[in-house]
Amino acid sequence: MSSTQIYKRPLRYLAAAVFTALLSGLLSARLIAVEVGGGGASSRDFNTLADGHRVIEEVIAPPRGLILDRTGRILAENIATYAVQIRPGDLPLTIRPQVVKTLGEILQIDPVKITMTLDRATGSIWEPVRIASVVDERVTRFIEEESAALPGVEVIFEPRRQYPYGELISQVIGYVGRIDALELSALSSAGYNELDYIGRAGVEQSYEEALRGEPGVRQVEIDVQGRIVRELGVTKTPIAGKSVVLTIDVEAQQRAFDALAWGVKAAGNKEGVVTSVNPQNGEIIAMASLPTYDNNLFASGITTAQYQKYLNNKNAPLLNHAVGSHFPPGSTYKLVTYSCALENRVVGVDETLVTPAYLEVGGQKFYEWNRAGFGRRLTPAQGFSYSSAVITYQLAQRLKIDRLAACGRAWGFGEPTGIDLPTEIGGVVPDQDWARTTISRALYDGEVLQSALGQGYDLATPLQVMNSFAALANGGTLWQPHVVLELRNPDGTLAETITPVEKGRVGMRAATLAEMRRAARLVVANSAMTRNLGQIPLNLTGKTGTAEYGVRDKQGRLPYHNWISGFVAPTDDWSKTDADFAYVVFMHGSNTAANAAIEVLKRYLQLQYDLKRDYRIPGSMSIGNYYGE
Amino acid sequence: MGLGSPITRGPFGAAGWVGSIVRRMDWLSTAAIGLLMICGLGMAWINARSYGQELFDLSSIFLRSIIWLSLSVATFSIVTAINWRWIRTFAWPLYGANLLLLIATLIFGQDSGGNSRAIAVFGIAIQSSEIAKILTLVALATVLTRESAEADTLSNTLLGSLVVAPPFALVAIQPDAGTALIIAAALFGGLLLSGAATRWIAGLAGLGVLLLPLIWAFLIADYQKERLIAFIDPNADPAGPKYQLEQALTAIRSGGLFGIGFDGTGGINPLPVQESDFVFAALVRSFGLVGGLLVIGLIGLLVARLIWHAWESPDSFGTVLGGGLAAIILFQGGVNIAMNLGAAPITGIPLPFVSYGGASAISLAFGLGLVQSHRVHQGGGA
Repeated sequence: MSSTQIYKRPLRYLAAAVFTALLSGLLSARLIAVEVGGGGASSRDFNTLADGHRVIEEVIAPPRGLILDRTGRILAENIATYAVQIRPGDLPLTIRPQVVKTLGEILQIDPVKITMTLDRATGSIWEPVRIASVVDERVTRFIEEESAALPGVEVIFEPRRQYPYGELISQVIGYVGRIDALELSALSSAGYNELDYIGRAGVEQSYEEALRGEPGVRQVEIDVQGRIVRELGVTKTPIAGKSVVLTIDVEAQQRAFDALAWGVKAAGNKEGVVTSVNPQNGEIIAMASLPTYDNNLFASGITTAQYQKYLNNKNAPLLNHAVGSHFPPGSTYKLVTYSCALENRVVGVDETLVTPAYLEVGGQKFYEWNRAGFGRRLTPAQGFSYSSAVITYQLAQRLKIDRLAACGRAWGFGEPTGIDLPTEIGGVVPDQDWARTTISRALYDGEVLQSALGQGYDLATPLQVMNSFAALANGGTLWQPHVVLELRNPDGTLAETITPVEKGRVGMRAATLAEMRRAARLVVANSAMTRNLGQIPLNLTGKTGTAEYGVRDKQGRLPYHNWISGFVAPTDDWSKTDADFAYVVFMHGSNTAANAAIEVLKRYLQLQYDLKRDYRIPGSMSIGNYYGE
Repeated sequence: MGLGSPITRGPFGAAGWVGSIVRRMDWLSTAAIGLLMICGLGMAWINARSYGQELFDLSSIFLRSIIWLSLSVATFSIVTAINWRWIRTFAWPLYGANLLLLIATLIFGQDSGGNSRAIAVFGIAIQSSEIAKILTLVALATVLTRESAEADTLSNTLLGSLVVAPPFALVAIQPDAGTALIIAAALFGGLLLSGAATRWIAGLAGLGVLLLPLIWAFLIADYQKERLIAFIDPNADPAGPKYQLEQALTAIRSGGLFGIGFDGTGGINPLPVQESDFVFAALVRSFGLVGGLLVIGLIGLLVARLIWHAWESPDSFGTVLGGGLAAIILFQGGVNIAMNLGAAPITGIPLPFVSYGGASAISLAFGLGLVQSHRVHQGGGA
């Protein structure tokens, strides 16, 4: 070699090679560590910053889950709306008049109003002032294009809940509202903040957790004024809420709603309930409660006047009367009394009982509802079909109150059914313990007779009444009724099926229940009582009820509600327990010439089973003095 | 003879000449260079899109990358084909021209990112410090290969240091401490592998340590100090360099195993200087852990091949060139990647061929082409 003498030192080459390999390995390890573990000292330690700047964590609201009917129709969705706001601190006063004028022209708002809104705003000049809500998207695009000429003007995106079916199903769906201070203090640990919406009624409330999803978190740096200087990154991506699929089909709901709407219009009573359920699994088929309300008003920020109007309405449109109100169940409660008597063998199936005009108890006369009696002896099932009060009194006397009350509770009365809707109440089943603690005395004998009739202290929700007949239909199982079928992930895959929950069992012999099903069919078939109801070509059963309440009028009469509850079976074999449709119709303060609930039921069944003939009887819904049962 | 090559031109003429060059080249390192360039092109495409540029507009990073990388490939090929001995004869004129360019940069330098590193020549901003790295190394290799040289003598080490000192100083006072350190690393690598005595290398290193306070006081800009402080102090201003690093780490984490692909930014804001300093983080975001490991592997492979070349080289020129280039690429790749991973302070050191930048790519292609030429054109007199 003619040039430099080379001193190659193998150890140095080895060291260089090892160093290269080591460095590559360390960098790879570090890359994997960052990728997997988020490593590094820099992902934390953001507490103390220069110049009074602070890093705060902001919650990113996840998109709320949808609510769908059982066929997939959208009942609650999220729509995009835009709002326009001005951050006064970013709008120099010298050009404010010009900006306000331009913005006023774009939004078609009087510039004077904008100026007044700005001047009235209290708080920091960096706090945005709302100028317009629900602004058309084209207008917002125009504003964004003109942003150079509109300093301080911001367009913000606001997701809003929309309920395409509105008042048709608002009682079940409910609505969302901005979280209030009280809720916030209870829920702030769950990641709610003051701008969050929360379910306030119906499924929106009871499935809040699933619908809401999991909020994300982003870190932003704010300056002394609280203005966001920059976004530092998303530390947790939000997870969209699950969608809720109802057991209710909107078309079925429409039938119940239309029948009820016709009924309250014809009877002029304004308030009522039509609900149906599948007795085999507790799935609610339809649930209509009138009066109702438009939940879209809440979604778009209800006005105080409108809200007051709802609150002042004595028929309580915001309340789902099927679950949230209780009434005396009237003769529908005779299901409890008669089954209890048969089960306890205080009366035989074929035993006949006398039917005088009245029964005298403790020196007081307790009359048959027709004040005449039926002039012949009747079996319990016949007495049930005539809704005989006097036979009921005799059974109550044999049972005594505590046994009667135990049967009432066995049929699910006296405590909530456990339906997946909020604000359900439990009603009242009076017994001596209840009397001692609530009215501080024992029940009089007369009050015991009243209780056997579903009057007096008895109170039940329409849902409880329906659930008792659903249990009758299915052979004695009290399912927890439910309006939600399943939950779905944001991508549409099944997240969770709501399995039916057995709340309890009636615990009576099959023979007792079969006899009661036969008796319930007799009610429908008894044309002296229910006129043409038995002609409907369905294996329909039911028990009517007329329940007095309130204050007597000048003629000494009490106003009354009308009830009917029962089920439709596939065959007329009453030993079978395979019915898939149970219902209740409740007409509040109907005071009609005939049982208004029966007429509503006829309309409902006509729609539900697509019957050609209309079985409604003209004139039944006129105001009258129907004291029939 | 200018192109005094022993490579035969016949009997197959030009085709045979190309063929014999191709056969003698080191294909492992060439493949690594090519793959790194492809990564750079891919990142340029992604970055152009994430910056909202028209891909084939003259101002687009993508089109410019195509131009720069094409020029780099051309440089690499031409230098490979030409006998290195002939190129070596231009080492000193090039060295001198580079010193002039560095001085011109100091005087007329453009403000590019807060300092005067680039100079406009015919309307093109040229980062003279990037060129200085390679031309200084070529000069160093030349001086250490002179007739009377003996590798382990003090005079040899001193002479090498004297050649390196002027460009080092001129780059350092731009101020570009990062590139100055690369130049020092090239000296270190060249001396180490060409057999300089351990005591003189240690002496040089000691001198560097002694100079540290001076460098800190006079040659490190405030923003650079800020970066160093940010690296050490966890409570530093999060809107500053810390913020950039945080964003880089977020980007890396968002990449997962295979990355988000060519999908621009994936809805995330572009990283600060993601075409150069933070190109690695952007690359991992796009191509995931797999992409990141591939780039680390390619850098490692290239460095290993350069060390191997130094070992195989029959003369000091190849040893110094291989050792110096290995040091340069290892230093650049290591510091850039480590900085993206939060394991080194933030410095403006580009990732070889992957970061966007014409001067860096072409000068590296020149240096690596020279190594290939040194392999290909063996034999004959130096």
